[in-house]
Amino acid sequence: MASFSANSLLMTATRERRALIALSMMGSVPDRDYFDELFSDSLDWPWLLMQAMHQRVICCLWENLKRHDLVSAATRCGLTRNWITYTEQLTHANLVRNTLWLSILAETIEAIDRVGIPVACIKGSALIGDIYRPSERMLGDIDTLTAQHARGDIAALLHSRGFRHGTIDPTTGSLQPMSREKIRFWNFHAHLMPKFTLEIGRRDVPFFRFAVGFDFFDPQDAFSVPSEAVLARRVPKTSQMTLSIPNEADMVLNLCIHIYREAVSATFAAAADNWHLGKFGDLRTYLIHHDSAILREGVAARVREFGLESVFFFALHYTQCVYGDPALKPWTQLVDPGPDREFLIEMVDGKRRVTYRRPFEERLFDTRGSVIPGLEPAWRRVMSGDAW
Amino acid sequence: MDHMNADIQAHEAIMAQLRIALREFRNDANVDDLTDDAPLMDALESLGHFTFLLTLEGTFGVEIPDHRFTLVEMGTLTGIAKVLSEATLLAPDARCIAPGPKQ
Repeated sequence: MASFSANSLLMTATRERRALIALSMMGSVPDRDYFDELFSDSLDWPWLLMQAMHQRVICCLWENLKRHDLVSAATRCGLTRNWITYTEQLTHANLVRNTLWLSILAETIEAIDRVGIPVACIKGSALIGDIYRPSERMLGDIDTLTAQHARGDIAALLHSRGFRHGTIDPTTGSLQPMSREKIRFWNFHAHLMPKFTLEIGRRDVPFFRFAVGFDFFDPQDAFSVPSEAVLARRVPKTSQMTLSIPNEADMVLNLCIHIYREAVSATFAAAADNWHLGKFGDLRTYLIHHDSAILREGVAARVREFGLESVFFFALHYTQCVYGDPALKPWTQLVDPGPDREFLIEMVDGKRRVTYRRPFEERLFDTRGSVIPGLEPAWRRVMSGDAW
Repeated sequence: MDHMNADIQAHEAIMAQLRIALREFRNDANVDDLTDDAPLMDALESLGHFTFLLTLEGTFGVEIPDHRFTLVEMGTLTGIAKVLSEATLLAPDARCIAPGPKQ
């Protein structure tokens, strides 16, 4: 276990936190001795599984327990039958849902392709079949990228196929329409159009959620990566050739930007949504799986092209705070953002910025959310928390 | 050429009316400091910017498509005028926009 940095949360946090991080890791994981030590005494599994849900890695965790033959060891240190039963059921439901969503996604993308709108799948749907199996990665929706000029056309096409904007009411299983003012507010402030929801007509998977985004950043952000540039370089997804995804360098940028944009957001802070092990896991596993000198050069060039030194550094810095993975060392040395590192502790809302000093570990495991002093998010003055 | 002149006149008319609307919205006579292509967020914070855009449908008697309510398209007076101009062409009841004196 000399390989992971002694300063990382993987090595220094409480046993429950270390277990959560280790069990959410895909690809190379800590060795057997590490898990033997973790499982040598009772663990607070209810806390651990609640956090796994919050961190969007509960399915990874369960699949890893099985894959690494750790279920018996986990039961000896307090993982009880009920937790096993329901975590297994949840993971199976995730597989059913993801499989169906990827099928509907393929049909939707084919329809979009037929009218000549350029589109690329990003994040979860691009990563399943590459670094994740369909049961492992949790999807809140399917994220895609298209060009600014295609806004009207893609909205018209999706509406013609039955998609609507709205909020899912889990009590009634119905889609509550979104007001026109909120639709417009969303279009105005976010890099995504309001989520498109399709009622599937199945009781086990009632809805399909489809997100259409632009430029990797919100329009008021200090940074932008024009969709058109990413779309011009898109490639077929190897495991599902009807889909296009960004090329490897743009995938890396997007995963870094995803970590940065949500981590610094006052809106996400209020919803306890700044950090997820799922996002760190995406980046770490993707970089290790696709690592090459050519890719590193390509990413460095792209970072310079769009002035994303601080964004890239931010994402790698906090990923390494979690794992301290020696395999990521060449990536952490790829970009020098300069001597001023205040951006690592800045929070942002539109053009407003404040310094926010609170330990990363505390924030990573915070499930309550907090309003950043001096940074009441504009988004929440119009949108309710469930609209996202 | 006549078409081009008419387009220029219509654009100038919209810009003039837009500046009047902005002046009234901000209750501030100094909107001329804002150039046509400067970010409107130099003059309004984001929620104010959005609220101002909502008022324009009433002012101009047009309906702006939801998908055009974006900062990318409507972040400057020039951008807003372009969207309004296109919305005007689609709106039979659009207010008659006549060139007025420069304010």
